[in-house]
Amino acid sequence: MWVGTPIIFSGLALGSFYALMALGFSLILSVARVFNLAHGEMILLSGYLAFVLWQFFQAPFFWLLPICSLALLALTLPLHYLLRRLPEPYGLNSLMVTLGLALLLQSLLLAWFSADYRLMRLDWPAVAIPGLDFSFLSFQGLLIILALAVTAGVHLVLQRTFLGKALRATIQDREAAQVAGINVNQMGLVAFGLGGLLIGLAGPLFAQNMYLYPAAGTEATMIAIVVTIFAGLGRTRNILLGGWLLGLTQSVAVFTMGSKWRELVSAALLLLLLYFRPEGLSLKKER
Amino acid sequence: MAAQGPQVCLEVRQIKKYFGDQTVLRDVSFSLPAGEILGLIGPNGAGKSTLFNIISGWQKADAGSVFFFGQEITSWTPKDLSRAGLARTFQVPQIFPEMSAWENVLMGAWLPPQSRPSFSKAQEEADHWLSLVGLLELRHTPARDLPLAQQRLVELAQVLATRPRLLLLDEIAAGFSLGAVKRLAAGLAKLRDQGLTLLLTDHLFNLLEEVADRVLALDRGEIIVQGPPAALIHHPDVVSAYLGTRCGAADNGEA
Repeated sequence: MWVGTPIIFSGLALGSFYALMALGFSLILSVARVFNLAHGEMILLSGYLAFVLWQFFQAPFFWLLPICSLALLALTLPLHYLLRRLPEPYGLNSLMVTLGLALLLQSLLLAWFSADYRLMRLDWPAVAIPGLDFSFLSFQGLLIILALAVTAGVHLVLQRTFLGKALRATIQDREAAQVAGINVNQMGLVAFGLGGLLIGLAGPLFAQNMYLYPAAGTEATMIAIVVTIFAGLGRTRNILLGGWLLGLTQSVAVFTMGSKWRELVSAALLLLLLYFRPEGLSLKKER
Repeated sequence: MAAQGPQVCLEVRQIKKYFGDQTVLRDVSFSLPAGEILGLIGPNGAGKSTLFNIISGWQKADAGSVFFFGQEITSWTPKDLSRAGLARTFQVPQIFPEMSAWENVLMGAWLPPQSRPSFSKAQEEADHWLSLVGLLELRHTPARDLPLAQQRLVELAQVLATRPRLLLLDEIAAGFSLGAVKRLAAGLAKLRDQGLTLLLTDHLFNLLEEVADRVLALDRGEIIVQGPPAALIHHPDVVSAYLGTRCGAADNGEA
């Protein structure tokens, strides 16, 4: 077997996980114009919830996904109402509030769970590809399938449904959306709802894929930002590509330089993207 | 509201607007009966767009009030006005650049939940309005790829899909060929016959001449004269407002 095959495969699996983490961030940013700095901490919260349910209640993994999704939905909806009450400049104020929320969640997680590293240790069977001298963990396959399915689902909702088209209209031009009679606040609520489900979904995957510790949210937020900048606002399919690019780059960096370089890769990519794609996060009609 | 005579669709009372110490609108008042097409002309800076913005909720008046079918709407938001049936277009069309022409029109049918059509009904309506403005064959073209004149028509079809009772069109025919102006005028007249009330601005008069029942001429924030379009086009006050007094006297017939 070519030495690159497992590197590419694990990069794709990791990148799929990153795309799943970034989808909710991107939706909330592009529709509701909230740069949610607490994104990573919210994923962590969902991850810890999954960990507790698994550790103390022996909840099966596939139940954790819907339970955590709904739990985070119950958090993001009130958050939307809180943020809606902020005065202008809305972008800056919501940024500060979510930064505060991130610090609050970090402190709470530290108080509840201490700074210990935790991981959900599940035994995922290995899958061997017949004919090829190559096998992978079924969890990695699950990540790839889940990312493909969720991205396709979000993409279809945005492209094919009436509600999805109204969401896209809001992403493209809030003023024009209001001229057309679209209630952009309601669209923001829908984005927070969908975003909450996606953030909740990412939690158990995080707990299974990476170590849970209260400060781990920062990296998750940064990954979501990098992938979103790469993709451009409202471009669901590009999020999957962005996640894969980041996952593959990290996978190659870890293989060639060692695992301590992994986090540095996303930071370096963020700087590179901001240099070469400064319009990455800009909105079409910022006034 | 009196039962006799046509209902008053829009009533503008004593609107004042200042930008700093500049008076943009001074005590502008007029009323627009339902089912009429009213034109608003005036040279650049006369206050047409400001008046439009105030009526449609995009700017606040410093004094005065606006009534829509007897209800005061002076401080309503654009979204609420759109939902109440007062729709407008812009000189620079407010469209969704990356959505197709058809999807743009479809968004007009995203009405409040109680009156929102089903998705399939909305699609039929979008086809209907798009064919009315003559763009059905361009339905899949992204709006950003259309020329400006066609983007304006997409916006027109979109606001028609909001099922307005009053439609404000801001220089919709700018840059249109003569044939296109005539087609648009025929379409607007048909909509008026179906009960729509229209308020149009026109910089060059060519659309209003075709379709308006009555025209108001605005100059430096005041209504200087009003009447049927044929009478206004050669009116000395209108000509001098556009061309300046000296020039207006010399080129009376050319305005």
